[in-house]
Amino acid sequence: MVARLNSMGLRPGVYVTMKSGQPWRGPVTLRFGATELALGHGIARRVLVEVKE
Amino acid sequence: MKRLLLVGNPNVGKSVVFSRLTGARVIVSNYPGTTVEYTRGRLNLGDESLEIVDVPGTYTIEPTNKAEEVATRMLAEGDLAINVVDATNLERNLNLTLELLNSGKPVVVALNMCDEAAHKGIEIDAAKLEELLGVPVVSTCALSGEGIRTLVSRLSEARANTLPHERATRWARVGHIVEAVQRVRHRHHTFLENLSDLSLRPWTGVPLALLIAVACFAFIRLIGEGLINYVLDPLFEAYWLPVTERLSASLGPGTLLHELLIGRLIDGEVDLFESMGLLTTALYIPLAAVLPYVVGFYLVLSVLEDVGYLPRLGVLVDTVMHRLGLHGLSIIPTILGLGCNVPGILATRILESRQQRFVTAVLLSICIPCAAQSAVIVGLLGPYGVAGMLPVFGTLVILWTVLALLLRSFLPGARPEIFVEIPRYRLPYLKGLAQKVWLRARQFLIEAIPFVLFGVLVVNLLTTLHVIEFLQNLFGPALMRVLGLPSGAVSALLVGFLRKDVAVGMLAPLNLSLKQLIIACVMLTTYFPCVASFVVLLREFGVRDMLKAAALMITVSLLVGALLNFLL
Repeated sequence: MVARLNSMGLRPGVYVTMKSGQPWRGPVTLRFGATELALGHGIARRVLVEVKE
Repeated sequence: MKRLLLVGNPNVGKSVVFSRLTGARVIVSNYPGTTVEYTRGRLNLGDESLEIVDVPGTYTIEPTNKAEEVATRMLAEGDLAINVVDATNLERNLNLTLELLNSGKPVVVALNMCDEAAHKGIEIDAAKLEELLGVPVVSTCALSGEGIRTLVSRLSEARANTLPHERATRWARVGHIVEAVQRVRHRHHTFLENLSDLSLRPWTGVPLALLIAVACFAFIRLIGEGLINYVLDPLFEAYWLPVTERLSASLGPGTLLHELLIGRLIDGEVDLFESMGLLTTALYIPLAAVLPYVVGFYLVLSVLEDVGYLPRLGVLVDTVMHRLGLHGLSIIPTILGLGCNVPGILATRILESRQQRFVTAVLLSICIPCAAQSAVIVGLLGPYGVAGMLPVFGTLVILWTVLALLLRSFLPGARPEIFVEIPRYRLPYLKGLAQKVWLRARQFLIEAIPFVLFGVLVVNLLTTLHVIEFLQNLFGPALMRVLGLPSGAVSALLVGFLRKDVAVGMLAPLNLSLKQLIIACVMLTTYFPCVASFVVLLREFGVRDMLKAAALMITVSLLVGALLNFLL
């Protein structure tokens, strides 16, 4: 899964915005670069981010 | 013959480039995974002939899942490749380009969607990119055809050029290239981008989805009824009915040929809908009763596809679908199935897990009536209004949900979470849209009419040979006791194996009560897929799973029919 995310451009050091999240542990939508990606909750919670002020 | 591959990320327009190069018409849409089966075509270059293969989209050729494995395997069998690159997302696309170059294949890069990139304020220096990559780079707008000729003329310059780098430093390398060739002018969020965010946020997305659904149904009805009432019905009445009436008079009712061609007279007259002859019902149902709705449906579906709404809908419904053991993207094959179950079943390939594919396909072949069938159901039950339609379509929805839950507990297996790229919203390209609707309507006519003619012929022959009578006597009593249907429904159930629309149409002359009509329509939808869907199910899932599915269908349909007979 890490390789798969990496091939799409979600990689360490990249700037990510969370665009939306569905209730009841539904999928979230992330945007990085020009890519918008919807991810199931289980995968998304394993994506660790550092919050930028 | 040399083999040319079209390789690129999902949804960058490979299939559009393919149609442009080969002149073949293939279905293209605005969401990843439209090309599930790879397509081949031929391109003549001077006196040389190339075989072109439209490879399903992939983010990498170091496969991370099964779909990507397929793409990688196909890559090994090609002689050269056109790497289609989305100019609006250069960075991510170049990652694949570098992998591709490293594989040692001769490559030409098509920098596609250059019009859209320009619109977004992205400028890419193609000459500089060519210099850095060491292979030809051609700017294209495949939709309008711009740049395709240059692309073809530069194919002979395709060459291999490895840019040695470690896997870990690839993104850094891509970063350097992008920095050197791309200028982005700052700009504000566009309306379409804001709309995209709104359609994904639950509080705005769900109402929007409902609104879209209502608008779609209203539009399909408008087109369907409009075409029937103002175009096709008047045409058939004015020109075709007199022909059949004259033929009927000269053949003489009751003769074998009259039975086959015209069918039975209703109240002493030819009835295009109910007479059941090859030249009456068999032509009238597909052309006048069904085609208008098919056109309306595919117009709406094609707009939704090209705009890019469907994957967003998939994300919105994923929470519920996942709890039902399905996948948000299961909604896409299910919606396609409302047009025709065959492309619906094929589209289940966008799902990764075989188990989810199978469940989605089985649910759709049991519970989703195709446009042809719905059109005739609406024609029969429409006069009763909500009291007629709600029990039929409501039962199908409830059945779909209950079966999903049942299958979830009986079929264990991995249920991967949703993982889908959200395409940008795009305004549909009208010429492409018209072509797609035409392609699908033609497909319907080519596939429907022979089956309808064959079905009606078989039933009429069996009737004259008294086989139907025999079957009616055999099954009639049971049919009446369990389902409350008259023995006349036997022939409709028989034809349902071939074509569901004609089968539903055959209920018309039986003078059924509302309750009987409801039961018969639900039964005809659920009991078995039509021949075409059956063949596709068999091909996609094999004999064993097909047998399981068939057993489930027959059981479920009998249970539901009996239950409705008891409840209503």
